[in-house]
Amino acid sequence: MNGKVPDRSTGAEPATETERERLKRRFSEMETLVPPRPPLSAIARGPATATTRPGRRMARPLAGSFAALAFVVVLIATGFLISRRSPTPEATRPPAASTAPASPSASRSLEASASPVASPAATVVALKGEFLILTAAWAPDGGHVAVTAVSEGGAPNVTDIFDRSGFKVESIAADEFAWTGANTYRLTRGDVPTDTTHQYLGELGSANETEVKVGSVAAVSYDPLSQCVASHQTFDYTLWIGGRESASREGDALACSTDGSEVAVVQITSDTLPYPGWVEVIDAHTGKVIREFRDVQSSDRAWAAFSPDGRALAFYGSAGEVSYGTCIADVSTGTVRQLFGTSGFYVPATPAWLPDGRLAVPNTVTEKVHIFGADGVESSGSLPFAPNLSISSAGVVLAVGDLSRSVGIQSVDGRRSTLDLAAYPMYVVWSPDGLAAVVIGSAGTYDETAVLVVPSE
Amino acid sequence: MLYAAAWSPVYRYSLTLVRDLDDAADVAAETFRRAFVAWRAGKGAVAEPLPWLFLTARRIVVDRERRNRLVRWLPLTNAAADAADNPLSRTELWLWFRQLCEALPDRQREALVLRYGFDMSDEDIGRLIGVSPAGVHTLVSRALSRLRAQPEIFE
Repeated sequence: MNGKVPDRSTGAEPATETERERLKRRFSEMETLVPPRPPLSAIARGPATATTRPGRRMARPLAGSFAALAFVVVLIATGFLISRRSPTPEATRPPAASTAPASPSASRSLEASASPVASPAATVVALKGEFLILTAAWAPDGGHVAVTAVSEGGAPNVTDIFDRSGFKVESIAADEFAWTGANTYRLTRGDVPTDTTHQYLGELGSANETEVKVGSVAAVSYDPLSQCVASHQTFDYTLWIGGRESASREGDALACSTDGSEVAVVQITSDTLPYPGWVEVIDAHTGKVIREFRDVQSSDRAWAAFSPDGRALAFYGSAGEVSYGTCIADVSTGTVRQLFGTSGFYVPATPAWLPDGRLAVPNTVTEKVHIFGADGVESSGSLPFAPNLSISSAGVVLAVGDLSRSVGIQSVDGRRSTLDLAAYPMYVVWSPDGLAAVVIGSAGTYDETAVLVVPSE
Repeated sequence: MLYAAAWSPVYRYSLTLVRDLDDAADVAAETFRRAFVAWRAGKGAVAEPLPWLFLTARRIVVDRERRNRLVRWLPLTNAAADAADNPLSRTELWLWFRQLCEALPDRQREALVLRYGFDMSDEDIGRLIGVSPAGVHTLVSRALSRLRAQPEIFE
């Protein structure tokens, strides 16, 4: 597979009749693993047991036969129970645009050692609430951000483009959207009757579009300097430099170096278990493999990220250890180190590079953030803890993925505070200058929400 | 009796996602709790509720994973517990499921179960898991080619 353009058809044969039948039979037999339904009344009692305890044994049925009550009657009972619980948080819609002077009040996402004297304030603007927010992508100059979302009911996806103050400047029907310049973009749109996907080039403020290619692409990474867009069709990545296709790779995860010259691809193979694979670094312009890390095992949770100077590559996997953990590879020498104390969590937290070239690794067991040099040696430092940290190139830290509907923020000078988002923050997309971010959050049962966060100076 | 009809599929789909019997019960229960709130408010799908319920379940799982709330357990713990008070076939089935889980990454497993366990179309699966129909096709093909390396799974 190395060095070759992958077979885009994946090479796999469709399921044979026998395979299909056997899989279907097995899946239907799994019916026997299904426990009796819990009584509706137990379910309707609300999330106290379901969501505040860590996932064990919430709803063991008291008596399965309860569920045999007539549906209408139970619904009435359900309604009664729910109406007694005063206002359900799930019903809260995304917040209206608001400016939130950040409050220094204690949050469990912030370490106690932080003693902010004057909190960094930030402007928080709700951009969009929708059934599912697919992507947020900043234009290379950071002037605009495009938010692509799926609405409920099968309507075509829509990409809304906002300026830096959160004002919506354009709304485009697009399944997938990628910037190719400060004002130009590439998008795809599916044509249902013919079951084909069409790709177009467009320009901000212009209704004209040029069709360029049939085929599905979605940007996973964009580098503003080299204009390297990495697009993918599930596992096959295509790299675009300056608007031209430069290389194709097959892989399970991909990372772009900050200058866009190198791309790391995480490969997972199926020869033996569990999920062996390797990580390779390729030249983004030629597609040639520059460095391969063959003695590692990548996990099915493929993830990789280059250090700011591009000399080191962090990825999730195993370098000879029994358990997976965070590894740092030296791209020039090929040495790989698995970081001590980062193994053994099934759901690992996501590390993040600091602008000074050190790697911050949240440990979800100790609830601390460990900071490692690119040489793998742990150094001191203190960051707000959260399962996911997002650190911008300017050094602003957002702590997300905690249980609160808020995000912890640490400004460049180290001050900390908490911003209320009225949504569970899930991931963060920074502007190229690192001074503004779009936070995608889950706003409750029905909606996700994209919120613009601009920390003030 | 929407609840009665949908409980099993929602539970089995949740199990596919979380790979733990108790966690799956949690997720399924939470799914229906949210569904009842929605139905009561006049929202949510009623005519064809399964894709919508699946999506709700999926978002609960993703939410919890992102918030790091799902504790996962070694497969043998469950298998051993099952073996104590359940007929052999159930344990065997569980072991088969564990083997499938070991063999396939999350996305591939999910696509495979939705395709062959619930007979969903590429379009519906794609809408649910957030990839194009072509992406679903790729996922299923990849899953199959992986499983062919372990023919005993097809036994």
